[in-house]
Amino acid sequence: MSKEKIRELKKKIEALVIAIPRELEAYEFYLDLAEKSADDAPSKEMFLFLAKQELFHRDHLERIMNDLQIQLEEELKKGK
Amino acid sequence: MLPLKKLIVHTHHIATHFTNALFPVSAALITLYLITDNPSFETACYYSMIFGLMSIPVAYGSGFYDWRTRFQGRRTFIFDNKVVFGIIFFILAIMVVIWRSYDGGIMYSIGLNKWLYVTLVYSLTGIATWLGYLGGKFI
Repeated sequence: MSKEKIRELKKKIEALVIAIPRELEAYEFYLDLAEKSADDAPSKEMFLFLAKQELFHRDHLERIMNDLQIQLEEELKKGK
Repeated sequence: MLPLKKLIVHTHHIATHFTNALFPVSAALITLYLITDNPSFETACYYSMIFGLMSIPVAYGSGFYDWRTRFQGRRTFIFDNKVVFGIIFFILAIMVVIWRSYDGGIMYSIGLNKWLYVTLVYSLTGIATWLGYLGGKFI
């Protein structure tokens, strides 16, 4: 078991735990702007596009975090 | 109107600022009392701590809700630290306020107790600073 690797994994997971809600907040932010731009079709379209991008980022980060969690569990098991 | 989830998150930020402001103010007031011997500063320190203590349950309750919803109750170094030091902070704050409530003359005595009381007031500022630093990582 590498303590260094476990520490590194925990640090990465922590960063993602903080980052994921930010993506969701950004999504809500753009969605709100899209609703406020109801009478401006190009703006609404742009904000909806950006909102979708944020959801994509969140999903991507969650996938990375799940992989890291699996790696962490494996490292911890090795140590037992 | 803000949705409940957002409202509680904002409540956490507001309440923690009360706690993180009032306890350092208490430390500053007790320092002023030690320098000037003016009892008004000592009394003000006591009341400042009472209001700081009153905001702790609101800060912790809303913080717990925020952790369970926004961060899905995940355990990390920051959250574990916030919980441990938050509990220590709450216990110490209750102890100091109860102590001062029962012994109003603690700062006018000439024993070790007076300095222990002052140390506790200062330590609350230290812990509040650490908790504020950890909370700042989420912003």
